Amino acid sequence: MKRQYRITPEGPEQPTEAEIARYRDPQRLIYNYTRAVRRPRKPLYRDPKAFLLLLFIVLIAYLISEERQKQAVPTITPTQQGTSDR
Amino acid sequence: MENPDELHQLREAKADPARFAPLYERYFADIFRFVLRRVQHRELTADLTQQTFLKAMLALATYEPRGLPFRAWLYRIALNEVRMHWRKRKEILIDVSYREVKGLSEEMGLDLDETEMQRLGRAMARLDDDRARLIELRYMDGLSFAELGQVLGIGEDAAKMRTHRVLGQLRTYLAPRR
Repeated sequence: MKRQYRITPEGPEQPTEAEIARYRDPQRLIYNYTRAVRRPRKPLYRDPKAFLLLLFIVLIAYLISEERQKQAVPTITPTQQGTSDR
Repeated sequence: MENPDELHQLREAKADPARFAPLYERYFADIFRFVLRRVQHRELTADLTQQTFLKAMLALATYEPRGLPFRAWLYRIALNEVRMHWRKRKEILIDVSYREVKGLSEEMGLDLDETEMQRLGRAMARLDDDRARLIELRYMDGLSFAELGQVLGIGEDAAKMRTHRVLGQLRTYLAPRR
């Protein structure tokens, strides 16, 4: 970014104290602060990003539980099955 | 250096953000003028100033006085806000009065007249962004080296050294060509 300077005897008109005071608004500041720190009202499932994250976590949990179940049930091979029939 | 009154106000505001108002009242005009000097539009300045104080309130828990002025911390946030506002601009025009460059002119040995001021303006325009910012903070905003250091995130001695170097560069730009 290039800077240019215009140096004049008076410079731009400076605001007076009273003019600056017109822009001073502590109540708006507190209001904006409260809004910024407040927890979001939107429920988690209505926020697309949060919803996707939630879905992903549920999916991972489901896959892990499936895998554990598979490991828990002993698999019977066809040869074992034939021997037991006799 | 902070005064005890300011430290007390800071402690109160940290404990309860609703008590930030005295600090806001105290520094609003300073920050407003600081931003206005750069963006030169009053409504926009009011918005950026408000944003500066909001960011300060949100980050107040992380602020540690360390003997450096609170005002300089606010200047740092304000400068960031101005930079964000400028991020898409290729060129900016800064309007300055003779009064604001008086110290710098004295340092450069220039008279406060039209020809010399045009030379100074052209020389300053040749400085890169960081160096120009340093000169603005030191001479137009009148920051002390300690404040300058805090705004730029460097130590007081480093701020002195850097200013000295930039002044040297400015002198080179102002030197008549042979």
